[in-house]
Amino acid sequence: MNARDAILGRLKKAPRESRQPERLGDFQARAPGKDGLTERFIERLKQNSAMVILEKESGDVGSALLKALQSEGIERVVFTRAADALLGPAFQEAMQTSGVVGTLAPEDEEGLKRAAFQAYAGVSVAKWGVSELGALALVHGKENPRLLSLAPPLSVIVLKAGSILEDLRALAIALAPPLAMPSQVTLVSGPSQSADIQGVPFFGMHGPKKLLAVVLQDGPSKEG
Amino acid sequence: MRSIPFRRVAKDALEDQDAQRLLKILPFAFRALREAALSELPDPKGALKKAAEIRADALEVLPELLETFEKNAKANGTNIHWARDAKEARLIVLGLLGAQNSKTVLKSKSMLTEEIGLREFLGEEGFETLETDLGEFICQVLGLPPFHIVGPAINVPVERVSALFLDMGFIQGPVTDPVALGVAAREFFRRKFSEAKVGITGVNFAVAETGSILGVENEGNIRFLKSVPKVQVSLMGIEKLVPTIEDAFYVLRLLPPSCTGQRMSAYVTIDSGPRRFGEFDGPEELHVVIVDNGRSKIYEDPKTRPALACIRCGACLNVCPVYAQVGGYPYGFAYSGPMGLVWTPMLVGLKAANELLQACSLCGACKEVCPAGIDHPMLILELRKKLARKRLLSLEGIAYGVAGFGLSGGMRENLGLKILRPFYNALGRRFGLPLLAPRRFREAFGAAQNKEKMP
Repeated sequence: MNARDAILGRLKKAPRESRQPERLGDFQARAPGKDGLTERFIERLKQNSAMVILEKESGDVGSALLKALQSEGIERVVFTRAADALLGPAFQEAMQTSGVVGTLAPEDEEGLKRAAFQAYAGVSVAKWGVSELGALALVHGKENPRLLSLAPPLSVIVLKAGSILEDLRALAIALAPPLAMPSQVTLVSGPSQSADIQGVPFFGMHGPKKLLAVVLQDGPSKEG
Repeated sequence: MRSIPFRRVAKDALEDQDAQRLLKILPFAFRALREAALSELPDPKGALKKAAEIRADALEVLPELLETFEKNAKANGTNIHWARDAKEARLIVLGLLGAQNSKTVLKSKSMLTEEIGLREFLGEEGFETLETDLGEFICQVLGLPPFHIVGPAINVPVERVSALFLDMGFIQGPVTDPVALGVAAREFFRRKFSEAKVGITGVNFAVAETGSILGVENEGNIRFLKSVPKVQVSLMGIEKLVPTIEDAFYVLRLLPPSCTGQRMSAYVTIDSGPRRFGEFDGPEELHVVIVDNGRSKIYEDPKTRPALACIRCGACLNVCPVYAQVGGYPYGFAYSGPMGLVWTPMLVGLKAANELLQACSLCGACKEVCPAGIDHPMLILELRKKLARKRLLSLEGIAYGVAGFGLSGGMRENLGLKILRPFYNALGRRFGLPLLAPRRFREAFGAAQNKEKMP
């Protein structure tokens, strides 16, 4: 008998109860209604040690982001194609005059790896935000590769405010079948961190030392 | 396995000033952080109860969940392997590595790989296996077991880490700033990540309905191991299954508060197969090794089955009065604290864990905080009962069994004493032991009463 059949056979032979799951309510935190989703998302993301820019979608996202990049001393930025599409041509124009060198993620494995490990900052897109956690949910793929939100010291993640969900339950519904799962979804709640030496915390253990979320919304712009 | 010398190592731990200094703070700090993180939930107790229900329900349909997971994971392009025991699991991993053109393997922290001795085995087979979790890496190089599930090397003095990093060329001179030491390690690991060919990870949850595996972390090493290498090998115990993504997320929401006291860990990855066509990073091959290694035996007994609900958060360690005195070393295996008391005897054998099983006051603090609803004291009592039954078969057990039988009934007791008294007293006279009285108290008392009644 092979290992699979032996294991399953043994489990199936064991006496089992037919449990009637209790109909328990949702005991996890709920965001304060639709109106407060973005505010709570930003508040919690900041508590998680991330920096946040809240900008009107049709406004001057480019200037706000470039200002943030320059204040961090960033000279080279690599964009995923998804981020490039979301930020639009206005941002490209603003970049050309800023002195920050921006390139698109190479479309080959070695080139992507090299670019990600050498870049000062990587700009990716989150498909959803989770308000209750202050977390960004990235769907990875050809247009939004994994390494650009991981290898550069600064990870910039762009998100539309309209795609901020209430909590993990809402994210589960957004991800659940019948839609096919992407190869990888990553929930990012802060920069890379560790406290393994004497319990002293620090950022940037392996991944980004800093996380900057750019939240695009329709409405008045402000910076946080 | 040889007996775990809990008492001897615990005695050393009690005299270890570094460990004692840390133990005065660590469990209490984790406890306070946990309470603060859980207080964000409107009904923390209700949330814990629901998470426990999800785990218990999943266990009752475990074989079916495993089959569904296998079907859906395969449909995603994941290769599924099954291992009955540690040896099979190690050989499967060895076989997968053998097909790669690399003798260096990077791995993340995984209790299961520690349980099956994977790193040591691969070392014997000529592979350099590098732990990429900072604490686990320090333990690996210093040859130490994990001190705490969350911070395996958190007790190691900064001077010792500095000396280690100096020796390894990470730093040029002694450094006593833990942050500077972490930064130095970052540079070393980044080179390793960029060249990685194979990544070995554990699994926090597996989702049957989507064939996905979840990994939870703070450092980003697991993400690197799931992004750069062409081959990803993820090992999971058979008990990791939950039915749906929603179930996984529900339990996940309680894991970081129970573990590190965070609202959520920095990174959670949900992998559903290898990289898709056209993607430029992520593994080309994703292998999931489903390991039994004694778990199906635990499952067979409905009394021990709830132990399989454990999600390895470590909350039970931080409230345990025994752990708070001795730390993780005396537990002698991959698992420490109350979870160690429950899991280790069932994995290494009751006799080998004899001393370990006594390292519990049955206070029940662990049960109160467990997000998986495990009743540790009940399980520990059950295991002690099983151990006592095993002892009945030993010489000591037979002697006590005979004595117990003899002393449990009036007639047997009288007869037994009458037969054994001369033999025992002969031995007593020979070795200077107190002798049995010629008559039992009851006999003497009865005789005295009869005498009084006599006219």
